[in-house]
Amino acid sequence: MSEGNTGAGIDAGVESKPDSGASAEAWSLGETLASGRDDHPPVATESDESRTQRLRCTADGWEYFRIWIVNVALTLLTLGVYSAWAKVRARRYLYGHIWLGDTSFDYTANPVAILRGRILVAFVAVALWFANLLSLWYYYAALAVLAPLVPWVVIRARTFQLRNSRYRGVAFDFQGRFWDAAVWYPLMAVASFVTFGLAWPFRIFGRDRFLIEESRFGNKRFRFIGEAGPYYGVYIFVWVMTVVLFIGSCIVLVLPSVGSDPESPSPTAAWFVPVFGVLAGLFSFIYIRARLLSYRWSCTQFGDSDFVLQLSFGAMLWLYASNAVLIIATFGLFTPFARIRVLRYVVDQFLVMQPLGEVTFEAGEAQRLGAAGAEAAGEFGLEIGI
Amino acid sequence: MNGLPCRYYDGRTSTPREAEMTITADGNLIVAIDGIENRELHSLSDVRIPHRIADTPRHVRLPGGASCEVRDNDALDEMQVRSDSGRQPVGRRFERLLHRLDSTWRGAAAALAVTAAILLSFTKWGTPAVARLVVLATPPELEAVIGENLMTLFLQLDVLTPTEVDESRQAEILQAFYEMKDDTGVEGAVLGFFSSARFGPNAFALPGGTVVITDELVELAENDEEIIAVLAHELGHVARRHVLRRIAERSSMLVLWTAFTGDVSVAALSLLGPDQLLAQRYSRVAEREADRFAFDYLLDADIPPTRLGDLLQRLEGAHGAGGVPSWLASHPGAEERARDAAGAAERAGGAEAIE
Repeated sequence: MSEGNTGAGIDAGVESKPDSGASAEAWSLGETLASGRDDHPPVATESDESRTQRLRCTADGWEYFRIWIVNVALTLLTLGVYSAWAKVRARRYLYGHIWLGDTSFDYTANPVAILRGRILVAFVAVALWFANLLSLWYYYAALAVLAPLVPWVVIRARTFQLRNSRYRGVAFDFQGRFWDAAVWYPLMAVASFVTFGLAWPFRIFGRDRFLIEESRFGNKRFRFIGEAGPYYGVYIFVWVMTVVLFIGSCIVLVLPSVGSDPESPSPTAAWFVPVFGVLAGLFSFIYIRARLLSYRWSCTQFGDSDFVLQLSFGAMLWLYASNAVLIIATFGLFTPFARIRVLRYVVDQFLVMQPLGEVTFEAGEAQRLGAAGAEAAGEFGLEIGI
Repeated sequence: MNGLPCRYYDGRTSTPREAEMTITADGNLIVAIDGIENRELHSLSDVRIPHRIADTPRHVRLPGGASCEVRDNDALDEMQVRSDSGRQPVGRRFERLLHRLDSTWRGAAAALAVTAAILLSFTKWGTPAVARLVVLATPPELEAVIGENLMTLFLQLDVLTPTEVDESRQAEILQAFYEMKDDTGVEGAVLGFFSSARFGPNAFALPGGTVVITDELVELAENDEEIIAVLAHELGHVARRHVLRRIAERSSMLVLWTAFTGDVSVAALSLLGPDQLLAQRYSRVAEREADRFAFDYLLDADIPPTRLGDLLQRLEGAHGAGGVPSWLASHPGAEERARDAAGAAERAGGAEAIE
């Protein structure tokens, strides 16, 4: 779910039109859908062997904006202490507006645990910043010291996030082990570096498999039936396209303007490389995200349930690009809308295929955990969706 | 009994059961499950009722892992108010305030106003104050290390390449530089000569006191006084530790904006505009400080301050050919600074006349 959190949304008044269109379509597919605020939406209509339900997002940009701005004001007033409560409040709003069937998700984290985690992360971040300022060697040394902690942090973060996510009173859980995490986090990242990125897609594949297979809902685990091939497909496509486009645009844009005088580089050449770099980075990031997020979820199974997620690259590109422009133009005030826009899009594409009949899940053993891991992962960008 | 409809989950399976919830006057919570034959009674102090957030369903946590999902938030609020019977606990009052703030436009506007006020005043007073503190707290040794790292980077990237100025000329300029250093009492300043195709005619100061002058600038200068004027300006940056201050200013802005947007990458994105404007404002202030330092020295050394202006104007001409270089944008206009120099010279002249 936090995958969607990084993204974005225009307000309900405007956006509710396409939304209601989607609802109509969804009804005809026989899905469980109800207009946002119904207290107890109707039960899913059932087809032959299984029923398809669409996840629904009823979060509203303006409503989330108000929660966000109050969070920001209180966080600034309390010099950051309130940020832990702010995070829980925002998350609870988002989880509570993602519906599967007639029930929405619930986020139960304890803000004090998050605060503790944030203080720890702040210490580490300041230490790293100082090391970086002093010398790159100190920085690398500090990273080397921290590396053995990474698997622990990953497991803690994922566990904290899942244990605090509930659906129908049953909590998710994560039971990854240290050495499995160690393989996919620091070790394979190093291997990718050594192989000039060739091992990277395999690393992403292994990481996804690890994160999904060790996840539980209640007492049952998720399964991942994906393979490494499609991961390579996505990355190789991006690499090849980047090279082809670079050479192509060099020929079209730069060559004609290269003068006979090598002393004065042409003005086109001066801006071409940075502009191409930024655009290529943006396109690749969004393409990889849309494709892999779709593949990852479509290869995930839970019990007799299947998931399907089909994100369109064009739609994601439009969302991210327009979000970036609007965030810059509003000095950041568009941030909450941006988040809801992406969340709504991703959630609305999400299909759950369940077998007929009432499915009952049994709870697993849940415990309370410190939040240090969750916050550290947020800090290092390690947060991964449910 | 007028119960609040809810869904009861026992915390062991996902099967929902229709239930009704009631808070009694003596501080208990009663949940009647599937009609009334199955009732649970809990003391309110063992029950956790989460804060209300907009109209998001609330999950009331019961002891032993069970929970009740309530969708009628207004009814639950009312029920809580009734059970408070006049004395509202602090937590409840804070919760009400929060809900009033983020469920109404007036509340959101107030939050926006507070946020804007904090951001603006921090930018205006906080950032420079934090930067001043950081500069004071940073030992010169640490600053020198930062400068060395930057220098290593420049050399590795071939931004700076070995100088081609002949040694006798270097000795002359060094001589003048060390005299200036002694006269002004700026400790730890070192002068380095480098050629730089990237920077062209330029001079700059690194944290820790290394001043770099490029071969291209040495060539562009028409006389030694112009070179001395530029070096005096850079020595001003060293004396006031401007580079370190700028690093501190930008870092503190990023920290603030991260608190604002809640995300480092979004902060960096939304700072694109304001950060550039601010950085330029701060840097114009710094340039003026360095100019003033230079004028004071030049007057003492009987060099007309207009020498700095002369060179700056020629520099602008040299750089002007390739569009506005980024370093220029962060400096006050050369013409303006030339005028300042002329003003400084005049004032000095006036002072002499009075003497």
